[in-house]
Amino acid sequence: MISFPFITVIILISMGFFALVFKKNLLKLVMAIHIMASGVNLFLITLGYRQGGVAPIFTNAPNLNMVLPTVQALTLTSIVINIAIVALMLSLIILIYHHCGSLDTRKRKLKQ
Amino acid sequence: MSILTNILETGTGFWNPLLGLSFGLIIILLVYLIRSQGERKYKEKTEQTLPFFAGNLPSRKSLKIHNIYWGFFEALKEYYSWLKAVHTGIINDYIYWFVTVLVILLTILILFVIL
Amino acid sequence: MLEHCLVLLIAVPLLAAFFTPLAHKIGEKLRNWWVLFSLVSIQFLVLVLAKNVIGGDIQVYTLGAEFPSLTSPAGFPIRIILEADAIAVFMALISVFAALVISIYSLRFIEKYKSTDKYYALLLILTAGMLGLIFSGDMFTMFVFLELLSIASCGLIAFYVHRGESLEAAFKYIVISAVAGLMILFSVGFLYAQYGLLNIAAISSALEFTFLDIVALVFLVAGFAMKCGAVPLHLWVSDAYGEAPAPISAILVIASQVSLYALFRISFTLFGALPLKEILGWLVIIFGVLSMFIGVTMAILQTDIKRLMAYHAVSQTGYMLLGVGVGLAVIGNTSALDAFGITAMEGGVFHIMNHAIYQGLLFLTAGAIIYRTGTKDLNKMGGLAKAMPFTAIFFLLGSFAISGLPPLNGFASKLLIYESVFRFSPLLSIIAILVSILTLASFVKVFYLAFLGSTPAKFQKIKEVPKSMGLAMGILALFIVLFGLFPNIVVDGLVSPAARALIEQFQYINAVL
Repeated sequence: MISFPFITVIILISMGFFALVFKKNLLKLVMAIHIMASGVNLFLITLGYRQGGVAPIFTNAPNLNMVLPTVQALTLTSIVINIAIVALMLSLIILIYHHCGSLDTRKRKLKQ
Repeated sequence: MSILTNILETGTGFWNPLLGLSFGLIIILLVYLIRSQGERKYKEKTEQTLPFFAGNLPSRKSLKIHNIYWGFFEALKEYYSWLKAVHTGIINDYIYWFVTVLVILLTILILFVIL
Repeated sequence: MLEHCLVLLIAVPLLAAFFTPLAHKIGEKLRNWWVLFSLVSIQFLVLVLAKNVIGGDIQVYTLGAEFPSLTSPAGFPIRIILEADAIAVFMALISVFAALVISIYSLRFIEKYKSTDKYYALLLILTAGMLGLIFSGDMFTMFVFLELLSIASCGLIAFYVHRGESLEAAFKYIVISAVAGLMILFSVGFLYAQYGLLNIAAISSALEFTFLDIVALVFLVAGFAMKCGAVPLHLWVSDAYGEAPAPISAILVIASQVSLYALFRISFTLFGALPLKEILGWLVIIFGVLSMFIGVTMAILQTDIKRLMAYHAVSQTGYMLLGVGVGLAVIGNTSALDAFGITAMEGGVFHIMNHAIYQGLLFLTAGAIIYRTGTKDLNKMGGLAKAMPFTAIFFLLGSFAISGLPPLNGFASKLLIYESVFRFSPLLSIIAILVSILTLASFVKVFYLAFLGSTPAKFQKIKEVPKSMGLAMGILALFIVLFGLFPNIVVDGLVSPAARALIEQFQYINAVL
């Protein structure tokens, strides 16, 4: 029986892929990347959870059952990287709208 | 199969780049000597330097050098129509191909590992 | 200094990148000298590292320990570990050399645009990202530097902000890179969930090949194959390489090859003990054959010179995948490995270096044409050979090299691939030779259109390229000719240790554990 957070992860990542393949607005593509990133971050954090664990910040811990701190560090790094990517994508969308006048993926100026 | 690979080992060929370069220099020298026997006094940009067309002059406007491989493209017309249909330029199709490859790889590797 | 080489190779480009805008504020000449000086010092560091690693021992560096080689104080590796074996140093030599040549080329190419300091800063960050990806010893560091590489490249692809097409190409590139990076992070999560380890050496010795590990392998292979431009995930390559400035296209080729190196690192070292490696090997071979054929058939169609060369880059990536894939497919079978597997891998790895050099030269000559004529369309050019003789000669050398004509370097690596793949399966070798012929056909067409024929009226008065651009192209052409005339020096000295380092993964593991 897969627990609830993992099902949420699968739903989020599939939502991200669905929007990337089928949605034609550039802003929705950015939202899809952000949703997929949130899914992966949730996956990483959920991996570290231990039943009945405390936060790994104590020196004199009430009990030694702590959640894993490494994945939290990985998730923080991933959040920062995804902020940079989303900011870059949004600034590119501003300039693309200024040049092409349209946010449709099908209306592109680049001839194949 | 072994007959085919025996061809690779017949030992033909001799690879010494310095010898090849020196032969190349000798040939360049010979070409220069032969070329220097030509006519030195000619007038530039008159009829003496233009190629001689015996028939009708070709019209330069119709056929571009880009059409040099017309036969190749005609022969592979169906393949090229499929290929150009795949290369749309829409970003959604790029991710569609990624999901397709992911699904195919997952089925192949999981089937082969389970069986 | 030797023991700190690895971390200096990541720190020096980053430091130089952040000081470049400062140097630009003081003066442009100072900024040029600063960039060149930092790249020359990085090149020197890589050469020092290369001399020691190729001599025999693998260099390790633990970030944050008391002394750098303290990788496993308690029996398992902790902290971030950088590891350099022969193949990593091989890739690092290519990357830094290319960055140096490209910054020499960019001195005159880019000078009339506005934000040149950001260009050089992003170029140095790109170099830092490539070196970090090459030397990283654990999966998450690979992911971080891969994203660093992608973000810096996206900024550089969108350099021509005044043209809408470059922005669109940069947007497509960053969406592709974000998806690939997220899939890689997803699989790193899978591996961490199973084993609690992130270090490549540690995971590969603890791997038990459960169902989830195979899923992780699939996500990693798909993610890195998308980043390196294997068919059918190659659709972004023509947009990105075609719209970037010409020197950036040359360094993006090397960024894709670094992703190819990451793919090999995963197939050979991380999943080193995978049973039934033939399946993975055949998958890589199928990627390779598709890339070769589809790349070159799309390339003959194009009328834009940079897009044509971008499709050729896809096609040549297929050669590398084919060569190393054949090595991967026979790795379990010792007799076949000795007969042709090692040669195939040497061919594939040597092709990485040759391809970096001649594709770089081709992109730089295309940049020279665009710099002087201002147009990218082949139908509008013509007769440039009289005005730009050196560019024409360099282009000719590059096209002969990419088609695999002797005595240039393309022939050396392609012959290794042809002969060894022929012993594996003759059909693949025949396809490879046909693709070479089609490559030559397309470059004959480009050479005729661009350089021969009659000059249009508006191009009557153009001159040859400036000396710094000519010097950069000349260095690459010199290496093409040298590696072609004396390939055995390079193969015995650089390529063979690299290919062996991929096959013998226990050395990589023992250096850390």
